[in-house]
Amino acid sequence: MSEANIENALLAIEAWNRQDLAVFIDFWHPEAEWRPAFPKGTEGTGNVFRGHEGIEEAWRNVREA
Amino acid sequence: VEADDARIVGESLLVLGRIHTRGARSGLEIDSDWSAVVQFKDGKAISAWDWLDHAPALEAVGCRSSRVAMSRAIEVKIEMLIARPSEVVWAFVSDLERLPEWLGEFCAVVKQSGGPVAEGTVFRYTIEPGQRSSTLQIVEWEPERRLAWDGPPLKWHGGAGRPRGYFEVTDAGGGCARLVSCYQPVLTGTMALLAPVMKRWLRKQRLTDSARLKTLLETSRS
Repeated sequence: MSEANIENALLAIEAWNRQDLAVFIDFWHPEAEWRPAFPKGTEGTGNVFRGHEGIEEAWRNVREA
Repeated sequence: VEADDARIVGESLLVLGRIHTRGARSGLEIDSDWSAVVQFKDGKAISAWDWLDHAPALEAVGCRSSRVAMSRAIEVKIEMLIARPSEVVWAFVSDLERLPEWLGEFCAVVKQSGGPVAEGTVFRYTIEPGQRSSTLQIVEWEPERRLAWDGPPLKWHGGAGRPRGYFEVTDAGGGCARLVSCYQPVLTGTMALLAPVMKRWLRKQRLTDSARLKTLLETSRS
């Protein structure tokens, strides 16, 4: 675990906030698994999203909700 | 999403913050605590869980409360061309005792180790404000090309900054050199809380310092 990972995570959060999908996706490993805490009522709650495709699906789900 | 705190706990990154959501159809707005635990592989996030509460994340990493040391790494990287040969630029920037000539807050730098500079060489530096003093060590040394430093945290106003960074010099052709200077301090305590402010200050200061260095080297033929 590197201190640089902290900076990368903060950059990913900034990308999420400014809706920069490309930068947000770049934060993730191609084999990543994300269990996001979407608010109740948002499609995808409780799901596991896998890989860059899954991360992008989660991104779109929460923004369309 | 706002991250109030990000820190390494064991093999995980713990992030504590807040989230603001607004339903596109319902218009319902929710403000909530938010937390995440992330593991990395090859510098990328391989596994992440996040919650609308701090407690599950703290529990996941084995912390009983959020009262553990806060740490934030910031980075400022500046690249510039200097109209002097790369060996001249390297000779100047790799002589850390000359840092006070171009790095604003540095008052003095004195080599403490014997022998020629190499990996492991220790320097003592003194900076303003407050004439604070500590050491830094050369952790990478590739003559004529790259050096990197690291050092123990230097305390300041209830926080501390651990000096880290590197210089890289390459031949840019035409008698010019390309200098990459990268400053990566790790901030703790109150300085970590002020990380965005510290980053803006550091960038502004280092841009000024870099302009001073360029002028110094390009107008000096010694």
